[in-house]
Amino acid sequence: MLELRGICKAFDNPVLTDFDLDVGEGEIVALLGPSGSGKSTVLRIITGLETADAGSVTFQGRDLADIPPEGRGIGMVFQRLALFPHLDVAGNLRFGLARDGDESRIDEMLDLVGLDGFGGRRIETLSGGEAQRVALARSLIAEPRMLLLDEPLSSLDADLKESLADEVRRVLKTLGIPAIHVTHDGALAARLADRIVHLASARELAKE
Amino acid sequence: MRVRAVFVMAWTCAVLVPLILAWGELSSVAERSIWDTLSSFEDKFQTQGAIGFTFQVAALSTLLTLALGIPLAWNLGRYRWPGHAFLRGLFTVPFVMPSILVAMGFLALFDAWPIMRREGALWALLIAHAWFNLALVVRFCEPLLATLDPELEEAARLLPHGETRWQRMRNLWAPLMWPSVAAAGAMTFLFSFTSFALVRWLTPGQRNLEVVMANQSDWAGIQIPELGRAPSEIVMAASMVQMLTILTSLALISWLQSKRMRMVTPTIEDARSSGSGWSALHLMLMAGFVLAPLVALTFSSFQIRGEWSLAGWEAAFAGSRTGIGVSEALRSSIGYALLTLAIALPLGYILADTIQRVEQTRPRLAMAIDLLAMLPLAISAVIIGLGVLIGLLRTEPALLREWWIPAYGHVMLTTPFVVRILLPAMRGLDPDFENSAALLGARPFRRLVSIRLPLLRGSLIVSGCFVLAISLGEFGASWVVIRFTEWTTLPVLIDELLGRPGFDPVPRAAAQAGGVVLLGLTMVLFMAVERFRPLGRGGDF
Repeated sequence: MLELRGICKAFDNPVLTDFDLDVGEGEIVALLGPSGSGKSTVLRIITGLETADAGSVTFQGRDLADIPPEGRGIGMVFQRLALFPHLDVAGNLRFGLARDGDESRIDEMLDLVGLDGFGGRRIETLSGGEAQRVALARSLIAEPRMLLLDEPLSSLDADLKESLADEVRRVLKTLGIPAIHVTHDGALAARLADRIVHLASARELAKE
Repeated sequence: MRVRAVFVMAWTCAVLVPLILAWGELSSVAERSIWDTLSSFEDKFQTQGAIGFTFQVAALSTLLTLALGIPLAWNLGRYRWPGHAFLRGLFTVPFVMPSILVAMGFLALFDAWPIMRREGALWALLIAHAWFNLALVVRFCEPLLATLDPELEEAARLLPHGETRWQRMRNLWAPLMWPSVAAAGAMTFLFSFTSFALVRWLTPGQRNLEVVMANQSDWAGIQIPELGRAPSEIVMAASMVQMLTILTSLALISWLQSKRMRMVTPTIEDARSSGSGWSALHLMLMAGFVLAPLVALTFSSFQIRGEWSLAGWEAAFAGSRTGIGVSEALRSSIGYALLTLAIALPLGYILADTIQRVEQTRPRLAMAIDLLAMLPLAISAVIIGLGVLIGLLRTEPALLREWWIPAYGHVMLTTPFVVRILLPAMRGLDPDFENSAALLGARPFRRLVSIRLPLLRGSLIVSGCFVLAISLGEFGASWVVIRFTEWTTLPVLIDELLGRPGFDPVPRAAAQAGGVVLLGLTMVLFMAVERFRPLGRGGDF
């Protein structure tokens, strides 16, 4: 479904060198690696927010090179969640709804992530876990063909991290959406993903 | 706390008493109620059309300033440029330029391109106001733009309602930025509404309320039967219209500021990216716009009727066309500026400190003190000068001979800037620094000297430079208050030279030479200051 071939990217120093990755239908892959190993850069190249110096990205058989980020049909949950502060929870979800989209899907989506009745809440009143679920719901309501998760759970405490990882996995599997989860936490990667790719050596590790 | 209360009371008296005394005197001379004077305001030949002209100029100037300022703030805030601090300084300089100098700069520019003058003086005035207030838009908008988390725009771009540039502008940037833009607009309106030197020199055939009041200031509040009560009536009514408008604008600004504070925007240390060639070109054009009147002024000072000459500079320093020369006036200006700094900086510090400490427990009281601190910023300089003048005439006329009296108006006008710069910096201080110092046994004075003041060092330097620059260039209040030649400040001397008959070209060049001296001083102060202003700090000058 998604193929990355020979991806190279350098900023001041090389970050990615000849990197390959495959993600299948409905599969959840974890990209595991230490800080600075280029995990987030991979996601940004897939979305088109960053351009690779070399290599190709193919999604559902289409080369994404000339397709802008907004045309790729790929959603992303950002590390700092990027919830719009001037909108309430429902407003944030509405941002992700297609122009002629059914408004009732906002409640459905909030229900799916366990935030029933949160539509009127302001963003700054949400706890870390609630904000993370809103960000997930906002990405999913846009009906992406693939979801990228850029360490969205990193700022949460251990217990909450585990329960949310289970919940994210449940939601993704319910909707059948393939995903890439970037993290430096091995236990979390194992909990959420079907397969782990270690970025530092690009070795694939089978999920135990 | 008692010491702070004494300072707040002293400030309140210093601001309000001259104004109340002035109003009392004006109304007793006018012998009419304020409503009667207001209803007949437009009937007098001295005032006809002044209210409409004032509002028209303020509104159009605001629109033009926003149209020029928003793209500039965007360019400065979103992109990283070589010499960024220099550029920020450059675009801030207009706001602290003495208004009389701006007027001279534009006059020099129009001399170089006479077509602009033929196109209409109103346009010239609007462009000069936009030039002058550009820094407000940059100061209010650029800090947020420079630090707003870029993930917000990236997230919007990946969602259906933020796919296009226009959608992101409408659905993301506009709602996030509007309180800052509106606050900058309201401030611009305020400053354009109370503009004096620019209207006086760029639209000599027109009068706004400020010019009307200044023209009557020599006779207002004085009982001279031959002059009748018209001057007092005019100043009373004009100041009433001004006060109502200013208070409305202030209330609007205060509401917008609290809205800006309430909006918790996710920020990072530096959100800027590399700019495109078009953005660089736009920035260069704007830099040209800012520099044009200053360069024109400098060149003109070396020219007499189109020929290169040093006659203007010689006349300026010799004082051959006026009672005193540029060096004496400069000495006088620097003296008043240093005296103002010595008073306004500690006074502003104590006011800001009081507001910050009181707002934890009594937010309404803090807001009231904040409003009091802001009041002189909103009252026109001419009215402050008149307040001091008439207030003293009524109470202690002998004090008018004291050399330090002009500094009174300067302190009134500069202290609010100190408060506005120091208050956000104080709010941003982590209280744990002082708490841990206290737990280590440091007494309040030691905590102030060893912890608080060093942490506020940058903001103190910025506010100090603001005080010096504003005092050096202050014109309106000084023009009304200064009664003796030996007190003449540089801006007042420049005005005097500009007012000389046009058949002699030397005074104009001499005024320009004086302007260049003032320009150099202000530029140096402001370029130096930018080093101390951190990225992301702003919205309060």
